[in-house]
Amino acid sequence: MNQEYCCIKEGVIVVNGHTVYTDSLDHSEEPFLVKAYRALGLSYLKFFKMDNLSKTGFLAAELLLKGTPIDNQDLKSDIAVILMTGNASLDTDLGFQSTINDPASYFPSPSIFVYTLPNIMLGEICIRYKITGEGVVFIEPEINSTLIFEYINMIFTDGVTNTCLFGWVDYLDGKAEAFLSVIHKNMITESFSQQSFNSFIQGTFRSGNHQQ
Amino acid sequence: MPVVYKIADNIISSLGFDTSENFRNIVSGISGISETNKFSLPGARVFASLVDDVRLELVSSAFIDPSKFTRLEQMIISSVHNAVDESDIDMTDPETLIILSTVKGNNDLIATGTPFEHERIHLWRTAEKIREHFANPNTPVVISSACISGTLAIVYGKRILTMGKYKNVVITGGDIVTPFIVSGFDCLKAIDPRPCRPFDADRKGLSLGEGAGTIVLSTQLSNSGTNSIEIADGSSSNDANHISGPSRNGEGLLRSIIKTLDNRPAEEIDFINAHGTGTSFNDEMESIAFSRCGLDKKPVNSLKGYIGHTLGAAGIIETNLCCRSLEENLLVKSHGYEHQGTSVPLNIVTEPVHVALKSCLKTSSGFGGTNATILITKDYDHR
Repeated sequence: MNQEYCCIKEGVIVVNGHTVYTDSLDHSEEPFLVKAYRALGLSYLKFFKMDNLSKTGFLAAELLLKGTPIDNQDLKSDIAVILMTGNASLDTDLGFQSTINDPASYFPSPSIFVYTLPNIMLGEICIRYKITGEGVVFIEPEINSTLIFEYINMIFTDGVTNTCLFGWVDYLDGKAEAFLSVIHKNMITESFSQQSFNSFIQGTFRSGNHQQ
Repeated sequence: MPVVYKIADNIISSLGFDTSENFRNIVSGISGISETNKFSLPGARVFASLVDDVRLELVSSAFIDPSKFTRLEQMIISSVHNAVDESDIDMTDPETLIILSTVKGNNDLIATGTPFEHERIHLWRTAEKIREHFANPNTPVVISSACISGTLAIVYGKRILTMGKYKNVVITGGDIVTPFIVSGFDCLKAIDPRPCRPFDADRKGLSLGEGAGTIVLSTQLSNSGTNSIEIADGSSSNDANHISGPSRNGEGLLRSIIKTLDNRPAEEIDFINAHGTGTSFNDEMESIAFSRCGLDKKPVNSLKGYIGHTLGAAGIIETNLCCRSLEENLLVKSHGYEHQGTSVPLNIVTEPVHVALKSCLKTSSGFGGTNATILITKDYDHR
């Protein structure tokens, strides 16, 4: 399989085989995702209000989709989004819990609470790209290429979907991980097999960015 | 394309531990929402629909040692048992798949001092515990897409059966009410200080509910049922508008309804079971979407006035109740509704009605701009 992808792993961001950002070990106070956003010259103010999971998913989507035909102003109901995560919104859940643990300093925040759902990252990507098609968030301990492969094959039979944005987005304890790719219906040929899909995921994501 | 039938179901909620008990109470107009002091929130009176702890432990102890399972796992395992044990499906069959729908899973474990290992907080781990218990050979599928999770899990179940890899899918969903969830919805000012009143002019928010629901779908109809209930179609759509508020013009929900109906005329829909949370924005958005697709004259009900918003279980529990309505030709009234409260008038069901029913449109919408809908039909003639 030869298709576009963006991979964020171990502080390295790779787009279509090219390393576009490596986390600098400087002593700046800014977290990796924000440093990458700035270094890559991205401009989307809503990024700063997002939680870390949404930031991770947004960054991968932006680097994959910006400037492609998907990046235009029309509503797109023929694009499906399938995302998978392991830790889901746990990073933000822990943050929210810390605001309600102690009755003496009970101060739950709506702007944190809305991010305690893993599908908010999907919503953020849909808002950015005006994607109004099918969407689902699966929770798996690690990227499950069988489930994604089956979903892709399934969704392209619905008579509406022509494109599927898919992948893995995860964040916990400062560790950001993402792998996003796009597949079009006309790429589903006989050579698109579970085996070729598995090796695509294996070669681009599982093997790790440090080997690129 | 194979037809997908509902062959078994269960509901565990404040109103009972199986679908019949829940449906009976609902038809009698009983609501399980009551004031609780279980969540000691600073200065807040909370109404919620909660599952009875004593009865849950009693019921679940027939299948498991309750001390080794979380409250949510007890509910879900009991729910799956109740549904599956009445059907002839084999949980250990490689052609049977488990799908779990949950929004927050074992969210009670996030507070410190629980007896369970830390890993149990993960939604996939809950699914794994359920799979282990039933000795199912397949990796369970977990769907967590906010308030549409249950409906979306049914859409997914229908589709995966259509692909032919599995014969049966056991779709189960559950969520519990915790201080985390109560304070979250409370700080969003989304909780009605009284029991919720979906679609009413005086609605002030939702009531939280907890519970579990299970629906077993199959490509093979068992002979035991008198009616054949099908999941005829289903879809999802995103608003691409706002992460915590529904689209003002109902665009995403409208798109999902149009896709699910797939050119079927409005005459083929007998009633709509709405998401109907009781929040101002949700119910208003739904009325606009129903009107835009020409369905605003159809009888509409919300079941949230009986059992609250059961989050990841909602789509499954409410679908099961709709199936029961179809089976018994009995439309359930929308509890808590008195006066028209949406800019587009809807035909809200205000008294139980005995009427011939053949089809129902079930809708769900949630945070993240998500919408999902399914079409349920009874005794559909495929010739």
